[in-house]
Amino acid sequence: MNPRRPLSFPLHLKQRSAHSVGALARGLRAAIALPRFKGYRVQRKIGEGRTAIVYLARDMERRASVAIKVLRPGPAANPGRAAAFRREFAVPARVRHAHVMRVCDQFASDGCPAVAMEFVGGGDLGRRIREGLQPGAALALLRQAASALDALHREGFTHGDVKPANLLLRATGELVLADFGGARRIDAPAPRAITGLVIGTPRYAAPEQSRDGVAGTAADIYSLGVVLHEMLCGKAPFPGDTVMEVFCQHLMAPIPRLPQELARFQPLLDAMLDKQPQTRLQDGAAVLQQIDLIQDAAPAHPVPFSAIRK
Amino acid sequence: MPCEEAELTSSSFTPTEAAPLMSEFGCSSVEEGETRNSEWPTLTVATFLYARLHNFAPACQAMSSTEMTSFVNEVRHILSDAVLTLGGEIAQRRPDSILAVFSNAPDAHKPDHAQRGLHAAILAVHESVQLAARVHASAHTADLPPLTLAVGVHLGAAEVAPRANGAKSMVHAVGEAVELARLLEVTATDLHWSIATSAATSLASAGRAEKGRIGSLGLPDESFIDIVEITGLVPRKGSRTPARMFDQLREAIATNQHWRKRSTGGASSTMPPAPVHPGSHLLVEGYRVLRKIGEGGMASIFLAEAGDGGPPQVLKVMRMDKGIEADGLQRFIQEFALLEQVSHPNVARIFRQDFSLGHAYIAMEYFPCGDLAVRLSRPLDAGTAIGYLKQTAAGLGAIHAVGIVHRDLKPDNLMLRQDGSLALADFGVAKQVSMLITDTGDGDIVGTPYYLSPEQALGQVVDARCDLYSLGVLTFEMLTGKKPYHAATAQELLGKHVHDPVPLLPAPHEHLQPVLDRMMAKDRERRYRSAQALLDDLAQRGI
Repeated sequence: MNPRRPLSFPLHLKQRSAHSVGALARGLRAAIALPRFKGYRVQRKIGEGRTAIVYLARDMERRASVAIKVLRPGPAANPGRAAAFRREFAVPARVRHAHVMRVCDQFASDGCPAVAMEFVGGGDLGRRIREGLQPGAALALLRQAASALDALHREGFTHGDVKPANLLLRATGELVLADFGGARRIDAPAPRAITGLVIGTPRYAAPEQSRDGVAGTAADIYSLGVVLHEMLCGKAPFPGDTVMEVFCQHLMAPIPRLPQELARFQPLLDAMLDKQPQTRLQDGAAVLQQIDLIQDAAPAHPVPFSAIRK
Repeated sequence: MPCEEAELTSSSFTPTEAAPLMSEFGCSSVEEGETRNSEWPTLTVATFLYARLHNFAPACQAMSSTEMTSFVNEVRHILSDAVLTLGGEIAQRRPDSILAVFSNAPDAHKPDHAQRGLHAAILAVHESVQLAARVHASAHTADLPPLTLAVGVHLGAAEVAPRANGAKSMVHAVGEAVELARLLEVTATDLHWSIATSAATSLASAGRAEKGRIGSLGLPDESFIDIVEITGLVPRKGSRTPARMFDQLREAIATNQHWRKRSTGGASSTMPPAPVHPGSHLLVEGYRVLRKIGEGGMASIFLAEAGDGGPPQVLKVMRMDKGIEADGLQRFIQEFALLEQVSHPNVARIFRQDFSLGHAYIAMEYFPCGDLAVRLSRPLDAGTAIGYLKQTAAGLGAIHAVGIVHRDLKPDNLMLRQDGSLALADFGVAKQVSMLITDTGDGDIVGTPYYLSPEQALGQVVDARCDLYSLGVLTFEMLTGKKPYHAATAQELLGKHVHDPVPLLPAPHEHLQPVLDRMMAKDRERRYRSAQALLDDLAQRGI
């Protein structure tokens, strides 16, 4: 069958069909409605939230794919919001590291702040965890995350929101630390202390974060410890089903025991999930050291994945 | 007076895209009569219609260029003819859409623009269904997503000016009412309606428009407008048009809507529709929103009236613009199915749960008398306290029977009714969604763990007996006016839940100590087996 066979439209319509096809082309372009940014060719919208829209674009000069995040015009674009947006990207722009999201360019589009960053196309760690990870791969990813945190901590920043959704994967499988909306300077004054109340991203917040809202570098390590448990066991260390339960378990529940096959990770997990920030591993560098200890002790023949998951 | 300036046209949103309303919407950037020069027309009250043919682009792409030109022309004629036949003027025309204005002379005795606007919308849908049927009858375009028309009609004020080139039946139109007509088109698309109009427009149509479902549409300024679906045309009094004609129009509207539903997968009752413009506006079908009564974290709470009448209900709306995992949603849906089975006087009634446009919402019973937390600010007499204890236990028994554990029982979750009865609220569905949201979102303040059971604090597997512990804490508080454990930090408080002995009740309540001991036992094996066992024990003791 010829797919180009004309439709049998009524004759009177064919007679009126002298109208331009140009109008149609214009309409189609308009329907897709992509913004233009100088130096970039915008390909498509890849995400949007209440305050910002993210586009996939081609950086014409560097010949690389970038993600461009633009603050939405309108009420979201008040000066405070714009400043927070710029602050958010000042951190990764300063910390240049193989496993920290690369920021390529910051500019304004129609008065709205925009930032071009590396396009990370391999999904996030959450998805990778759901697919199942071997302990060896988990450790490699942990090392990359820890080295990214190390770089951040050395520059005097805390990330403040380490969780699988903020640990992205490049197509090559390398891990990238992203989303610096919660980043703060280590020496910045602590936010207003809240007594008896708990705030933050419950599943990953360190006890001291939910207790007094203060998050030092050790809080990042605690959150990374939760991520480690998820990578190893496929589930969160604490099984709480409500926000209150999860917070209280971070404060109170004993650190879960890993199954026998994963026992070599237990000291690392315990040191990362220590409820006392003072005795916990303090920063990315400390975690890297501890990982080296495990790798030296790693069995010559890793236990097959199937044996671990039973 | 709301007015719009040229800003709107320079908005970065192209006219065929449904432009979300910006801050300029509804606010006046120019003081009336100040900088406004005489060339600017004043606001005209008229009916605005915005219609858009969906799946237009895929249809075009599948056609040869001759076919396409012919198709594009036919679409153009369908849309224009419907407007011009009813005396409308065209404000903007795109290959797949039209914006039209229906107005009356300022001195008209009986303005009929609303009914003409709605009539035109109905005609356009009818014509477009005929066209779609022809396109889909053709072999190589048969598998394309169906062509459907969505129309938004709104009566309101905007600036309407003749075209400078004097083109006949062509005008410029800018203003709030224009934007609302566009937004109503998006609304119709999202709800799978053919025609969406504001309730006021349908009232002004002299009864010519047949009304279908209702809903509420949130505007950026946090106000709401009532919206109505139009399902057909009502014959004029003494009309000699055969009834068959009106049936055809009604059928066309139904067909269009059916196709629309099919093209989006239709099964929206099991999965939420993909948000088209997440977070841009709130849309609730079947409810008339009365006012906002609360806001917290990612959820907003409204007082609303159901389309089918009855007392006001509470509408808890949760934003889902951050990806919520499918299994979480599955649980949300399954648990609602369970809750629907619970019909108990001591459990808050849940009327409905649904998704719309990146929002999940639950309609619940409204409690104008407030919750027990407020009531506890004054001392309770022992009789009332025991009554509340029994009612809460009965409510817990009912939800435990369907396999739901409350897990967060506290005075704020016990709602009071006028008649002195009390109902459990904020469990299951509502709780789990808030968990999913805080997991992905910004977090929330959750309060102090005064009522949490030891096993919950320790991360052990939880069963219905954790609710009995919380009920024990609550009972102590109701009887004494104090919480059993106090501490400076949450951590210390949890330590007391886990280790400290059950506190002693003061003398007048001594006879209840054994009951409290069994409710608040650290080891849940030593607690009552079930809420019913607690009630039986109370009965045996003659309490």
